[in-house]
Amino acid sequence: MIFEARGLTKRYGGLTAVSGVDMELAQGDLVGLIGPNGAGKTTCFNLITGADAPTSGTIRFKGEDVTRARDFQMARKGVARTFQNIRLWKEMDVLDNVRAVCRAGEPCGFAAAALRLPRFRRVERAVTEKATSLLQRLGLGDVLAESPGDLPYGDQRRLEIARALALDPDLLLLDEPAAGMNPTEKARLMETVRDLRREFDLTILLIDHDMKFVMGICERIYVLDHGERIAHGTPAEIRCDKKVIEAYLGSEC
Amino acid sequence: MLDYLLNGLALGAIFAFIALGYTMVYGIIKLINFAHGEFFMFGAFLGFFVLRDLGVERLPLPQPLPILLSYVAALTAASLGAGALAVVTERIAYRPVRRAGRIAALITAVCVSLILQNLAIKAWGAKPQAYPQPREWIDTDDLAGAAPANLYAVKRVETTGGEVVENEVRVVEAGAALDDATRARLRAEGHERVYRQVPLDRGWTRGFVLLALLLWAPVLWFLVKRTRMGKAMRAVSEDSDAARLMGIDINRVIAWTFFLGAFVAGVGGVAYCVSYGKVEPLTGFLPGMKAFIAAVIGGIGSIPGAILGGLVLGTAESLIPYALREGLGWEAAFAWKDAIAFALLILILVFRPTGILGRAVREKV
Amino acid sequence: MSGELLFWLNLLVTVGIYTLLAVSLNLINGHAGMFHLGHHGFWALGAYAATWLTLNAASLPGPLLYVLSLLLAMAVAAIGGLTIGIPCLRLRGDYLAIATLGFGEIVRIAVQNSPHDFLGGSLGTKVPRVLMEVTRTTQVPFRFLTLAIVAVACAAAILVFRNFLRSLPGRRLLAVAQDETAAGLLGIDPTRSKVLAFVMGSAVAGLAGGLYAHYMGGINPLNFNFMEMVKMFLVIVLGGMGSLSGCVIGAFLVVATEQLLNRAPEAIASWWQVLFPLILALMIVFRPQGIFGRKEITDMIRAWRRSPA
Repeated sequence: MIFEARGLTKRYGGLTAVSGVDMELAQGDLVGLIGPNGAGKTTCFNLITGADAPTSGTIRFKGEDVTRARDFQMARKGVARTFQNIRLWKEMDVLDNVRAVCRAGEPCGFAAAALRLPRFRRVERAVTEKATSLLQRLGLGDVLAESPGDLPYGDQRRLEIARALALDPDLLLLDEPAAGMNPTEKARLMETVRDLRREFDLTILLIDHDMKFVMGICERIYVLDHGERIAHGTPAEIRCDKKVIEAYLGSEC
Repeated sequence: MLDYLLNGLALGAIFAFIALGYTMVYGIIKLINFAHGEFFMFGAFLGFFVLRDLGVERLPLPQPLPILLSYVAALTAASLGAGALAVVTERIAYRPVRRAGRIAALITAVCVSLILQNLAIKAWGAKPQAYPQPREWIDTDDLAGAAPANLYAVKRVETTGGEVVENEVRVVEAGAALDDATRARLRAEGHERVYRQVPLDRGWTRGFVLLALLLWAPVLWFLVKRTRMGKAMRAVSEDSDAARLMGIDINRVIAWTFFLGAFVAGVGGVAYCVSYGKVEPLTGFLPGMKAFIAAVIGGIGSIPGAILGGLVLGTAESLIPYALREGLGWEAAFAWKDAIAFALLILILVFRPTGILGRAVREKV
Repeated sequence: MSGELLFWLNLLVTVGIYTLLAVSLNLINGHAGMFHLGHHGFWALGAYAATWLTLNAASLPGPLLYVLSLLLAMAVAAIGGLTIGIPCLRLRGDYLAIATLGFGEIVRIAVQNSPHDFLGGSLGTKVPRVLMEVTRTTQVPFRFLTLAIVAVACAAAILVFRNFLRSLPGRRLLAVAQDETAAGLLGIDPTRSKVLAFVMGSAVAGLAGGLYAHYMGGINPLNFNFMEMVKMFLVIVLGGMGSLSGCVIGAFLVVATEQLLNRAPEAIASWWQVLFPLILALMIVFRPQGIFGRKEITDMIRAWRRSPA
């Protein structure tokens, strides 16, 4: 198991957002996390990425207990994410959005940067190469110098993925990657996500509201409702699960 | 020790008066109203003019108003004036930047504060002026221990109609010993009596300030919790857009909040200057900062918090240097009391930014 | 004639010192997006550190002492930045502003209450001349020399900051400034980035303090009051938050206006204190991005060359 959460619980004052959730991901899994609005999906993501600390429960990643790790530490250990409401750095160009995240083999301190030492040039070259190739891979090779705010919506989502990949992650969390896309774009995105998993050796956990999208792409699905895990299984099993149908009563299912 | 505690509480009550305005304004539009200290200063100046013109210091001579009424008049003028200045400032300076973000609003507030300070310097001069203080006048010949500056000779002046309209007071020359010769000279000039002026015991001002806070706190609480305007204020602070959609006139509510906050600060302004004996255009800066610290200590946005924070800060400012002096033998401890207040602010901000009574707000990812 | 020359030399030296203050404040407020209102505190730390060394190491050769005192000024201010930075940088927006303002005031109160034989207390202290003797006849060369040193310092600071901002740690800082939450979740340690910016900024403010002390030949706590902080703020708002070259222009506009007004009769000159906060407020309302916005002069020249004339 590359990722394991046991009894994950988060309370805000009197409100329990996530309660006793277990989750396991094996290397190379592509798993969905679904649930009605307010079920605690994004809170789960926040706990996994260290943006928020769980009230109780444990998280293990690559065999290491990371329950108390902070957000940037989790990211450096190999957990990367995209955001439900796109959060690109709008005042930097596309290339710099990715370059800011890249880690080169050697650190580049302040002195090396300020005085333009040879080490700075080496790091800069490595980082630029890596960022450019990632952006090309995601079809953004032509817009390196643009401002991310000027890109079409779909490109912004892909830029977020490229930025996340710059961390060389093992686990990639996608928060509603297909939101606001039309069916053609969604189909293309499904394709991309599958390919990226293979190329970059990723384990992927994604949240989305579009059942068709999630059922179409994920091999396993966790279903949350009111902060609790109410079902877990293959798309076919989830589709016929009584509790899930109840939770989603009146929706597509 | 008890004396220091009482001093601290009285000072804290003044901080509380100013902090109320900070906290109300912050609660409603999330603006640290840097110019609040200048409203306070403006109020103090208006009170100064009223007290001076009513001749509070001319006791024991006949006065236009009884002394207590003079102070009531000064407080009223100070409060209304500060309130009016706040409303005008809000209209001219703050309303245009209300949607420009908190940082822009804060910079504007800093600028307004400096502008008001410097306008006050232009209007009233930069020099501190002695604030009319309630004093006791002792009609006595026993002048032992009195400094010459505290001695006054009084003369009756009669109009042609034989009516006493004015009494002339003059200070006995500094350094002049009140020997028989001097006395004879004064008599010859028509000065019948010599009075010794004694500043009123600090207990009076302390008591006055604490009493004012005790009286004011429930009034404010009532205004905010029980009246229609108070409900509107809370609605605007919760969600101003929703409040507007519900038909609340936001501009009026905000103006009213500014007025109320500055009105109370005016009371604090007079009280502060009476206790410190002087007023100047820079009077507002330090107490303003302190009151802000008090508001943060209590939990900014909370009215009981502002009062609690004020009292805590005032007491700390008095007792901590006292403890340092008595305990560690550090004689200069009182000169550092402002630094102690700022250090307290930084500690609170870092370890408990919501203050004692504030609520935490989380950022969404 | 010599009076006129002295006036302009003084003006330019002052512009240089304000440029140093502004670029360093801009790194913190503009580029790193932290609302810092205690820069006058770092400036004072630098000035007092340089003065202290100059007073206490009088046996060293003058130029060496000059350089050493500037280095000490930077170091002390940087340590100040680190001490205040680590606890305060968790705060955001207006809370950070007030905490740093509190720090600036603490520094001022501390030097005001310092023993007279240590830092001069509230009356201030003289700074011995170590660069050269300054008399009526040597005023002009002394100001020329200082101007050259200040100009070099400005150029070095701007170059170092520019290089930094176009590097890996610099881009991380910009990312943190724009969206701290996203930066943290993408592996950037926000505190580290911010502390780095804070320390760099305070060191340069300390350098400005050292240069100022040596130039003035005497300092007192009132030189470093909150009004100066607001003036620095006006410089970066005029120049444009996030523009290094804007700082130079902004510093020139502010200092030149102030000093030229000072030559006017007192009745007019005293309006400066009302005028400059008014300009700042108007800028914030009507053109918050300043004259240059985030652009640099070099960007503009490039754009101008590219456009068909």
